[in-house]
Amino acid sequence: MNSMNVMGSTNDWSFIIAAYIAGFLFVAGYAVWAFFERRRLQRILTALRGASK
Amino acid sequence: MPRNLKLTGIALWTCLLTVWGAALAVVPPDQNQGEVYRIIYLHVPSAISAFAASLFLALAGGAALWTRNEKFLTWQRALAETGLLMTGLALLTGSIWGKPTWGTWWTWDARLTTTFLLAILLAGYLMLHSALPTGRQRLAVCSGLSIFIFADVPIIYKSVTWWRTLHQPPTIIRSGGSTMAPEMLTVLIAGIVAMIAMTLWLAWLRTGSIELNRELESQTGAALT
Repeated sequence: MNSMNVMGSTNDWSFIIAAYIAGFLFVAGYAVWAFFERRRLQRILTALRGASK
Repeated sequence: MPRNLKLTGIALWTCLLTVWGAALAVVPPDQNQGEVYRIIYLHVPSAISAFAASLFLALAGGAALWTRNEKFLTWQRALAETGLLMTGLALLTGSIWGKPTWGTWWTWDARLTTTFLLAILLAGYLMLHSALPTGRQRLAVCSGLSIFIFADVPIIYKSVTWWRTLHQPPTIIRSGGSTMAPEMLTVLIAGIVAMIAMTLWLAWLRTGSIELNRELESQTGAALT
């Protein structure tokens, strides 16, 4: 890998673990929020349709 | 949730977690950076996914202007959200990687600044989309902005060659071929493909609730999100 500008190296796994936890939380968090938001709106819409009948 | 959306999601999560597993446990450490370089398998895919989301956002903008179909505006909103998510992840993982290798969490380097600008533009798009009332004006203004946002992507890509930066030059696409070892490159490309697919899946998942919200908006006269 090209490392012309790299100033340091480390084998400290805490940075790697922190990055991957952040990655999982970003992607999974958005997916879970989008899923429940969809379900919440679907329930409101169903209730509104039921009330208008 | 529709069955095909659910099945695609399960398949993509399996792919992404497999690639992350390979990135953490299978590929060898880097000769220069040691173990910490493993962040590349998350950082580069999230940055390229942000570029891909911006490209699809611009295409949805063009299609909306061409057809005047509100469906493309729904996709724009979803792609702007997932694009912002991936840009934020690229900035965060880059910052975590920057501390041990550069000695700083953040610097106003050309690559970082132009990527930060992409995040600002996408956030601006979302604010504009929420602020404007439903109608032809929102469709035209948001679609125009979505095309404009994409102009930042080639600037981000070329920033490391146009200006003197702390960020390393291109690793994969460069004259003379990639400088990465084949086993590292394979996992990186798999990670890029999986993350782009995940970004599109997230946008697909989100379009459902955006459409429901628009339906509620037309029934009640007020948005619920």
